[in-house]
Amino acid sequence: MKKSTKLWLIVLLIWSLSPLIWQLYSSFCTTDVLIKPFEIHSNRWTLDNYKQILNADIGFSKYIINSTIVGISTTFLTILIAIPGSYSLARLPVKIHNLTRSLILIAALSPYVLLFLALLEMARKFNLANNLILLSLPYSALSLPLALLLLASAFKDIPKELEEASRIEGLSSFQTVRFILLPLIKPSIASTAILVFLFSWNEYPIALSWLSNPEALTLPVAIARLAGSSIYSVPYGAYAAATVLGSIPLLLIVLIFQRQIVSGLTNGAIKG
Amino acid sequence: MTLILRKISRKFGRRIILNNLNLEVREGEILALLGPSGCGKSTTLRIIAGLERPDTGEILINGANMTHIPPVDRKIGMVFQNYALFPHLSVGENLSLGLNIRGVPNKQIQVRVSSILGLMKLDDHVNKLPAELSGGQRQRVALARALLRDPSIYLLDEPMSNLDAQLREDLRPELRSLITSENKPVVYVTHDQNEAMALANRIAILNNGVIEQIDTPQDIYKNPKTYFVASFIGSPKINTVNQSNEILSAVRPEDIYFSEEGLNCKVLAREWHGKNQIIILDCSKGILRMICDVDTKIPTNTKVSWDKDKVYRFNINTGKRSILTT
Repeated sequence: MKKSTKLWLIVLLIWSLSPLIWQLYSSFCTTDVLIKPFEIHSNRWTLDNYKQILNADIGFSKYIINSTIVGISTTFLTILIAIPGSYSLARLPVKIHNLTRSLILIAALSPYVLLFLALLEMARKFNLANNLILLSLPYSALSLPLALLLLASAFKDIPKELEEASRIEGLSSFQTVRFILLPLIKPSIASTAILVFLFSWNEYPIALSWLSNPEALTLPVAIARLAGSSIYSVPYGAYAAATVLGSIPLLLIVLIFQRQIVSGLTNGAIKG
Repeated sequence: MTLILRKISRKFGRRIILNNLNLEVREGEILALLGPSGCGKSTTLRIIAGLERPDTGEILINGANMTHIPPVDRKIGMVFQNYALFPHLSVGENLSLGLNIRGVPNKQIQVRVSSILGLMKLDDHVNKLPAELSGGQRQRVALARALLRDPSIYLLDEPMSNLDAQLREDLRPELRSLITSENKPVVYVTHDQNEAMALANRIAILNNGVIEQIDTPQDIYKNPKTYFVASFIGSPKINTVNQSNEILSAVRPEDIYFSEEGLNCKVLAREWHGKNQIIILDCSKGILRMICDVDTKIPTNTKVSWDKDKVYRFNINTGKRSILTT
């Protein structure tokens, strides 16, 4: 690697990591330090922020579990629907494929907050509120356009001869998808899953309106509720601790899936 | 075992891909489908395999009508142009997948796979992924997969086009003996006339979805029935030497020679090809290419001639060969 490249990488790393490091640093600091960061303090370090949020009436771990439940069920449901959906999308005749893809793209790009009221009405009418699994319904619906587009392009990249060869070998459509196509698009499934999980992990407006039971809140809503008794006191330390805790599961998931995102699997399919 | 295609037609939208195609491949015979790209040769192969349906016509394998039978039940051994090996499966898994799906007992699978690996000299590569193999090895795996199916017919779609020229020549005899050893019909699609000439018992020349001629390699070359066949086969291309009264006359480059009397020419270029040389000439009839021995000297007064009986005549409108009695 060239020296200048290395230097740029380091600059970029600092640029993107510094907010996270500042967050981590803040979470271990007392409130006084955060207000006057450049003065000398006798007791700079503390675990109070963590103790505060973990020992609250409803421990913070509860929210992490809630968010994990929503995240996993959303991801599962989305991928489950997106696989057959995107496969069919990829195999549509070119014209219909392009039209359908454009429509899905429009859906993927439109701001979902516009659906906020309608979703709230539906939650009321069909009694969907305060249920973490049911919350994954709107989440999956909102994630599907992106998931469909990503997976469809992955399916399209697989040479059609592979499918034909598997038909000649006697595999049914289901077996072809299961034994040939899915293993080949595993990297795309993994990255799509991460994006979907991330969306559900971060989502705020719908969670805010669908969940009112304090036991059933997801992380973003719970963090927002940390705000102190008056609007003048902002619990920076607690916020920082909450975001640090809330990021850990995400980091873990990315690390686990990272091994799956080994591209280059299809390299041997075409001539070499 | 035989393969018969009867009156096969296929359109994509308004474009006619195949028009009323008739074909018969006998057992143990290699039939090469030869033609320029887009002539319909790959479509023909895919229709035989069942990967595509003809609009009209029927496919008979051993007398049984297979037109509406799915690919797996046609007992086809197919080798794709890009081999279509499953990239995430090892060589061994690539070979055993189909047998597994068809419910062949495990022990039998092992025996059959290892015997074919031995035959193909792939023993050392059982556990490798296709990406770890060379082009020639991949082609052998693809062929092994086709052989393992114990098919009624073999379909090969430009199986050598991804190999370099040297390897292609080396593999030809091997390929030939492998696919003909079982006395089954073989359909071999290629756009390479040398390969077709070298491998096939008969060649079918396709152009715009129509078979122009089916004949032995020798006859295709010596007795082309249409101008298209005459100009498609042979390198350098056949020379057009005259055009009059709706009759086009053409002469093969090797039939042109220098002579005292004849057509006045100017030498434009010479190309050395080892034993032969190609001389490119400019004359009143246009550009002519002649092929002759490297020792042939170019005379100072360049005149070329050819024997009357070496001239091929074609009808300009129909493109068909016209035998003139003069």
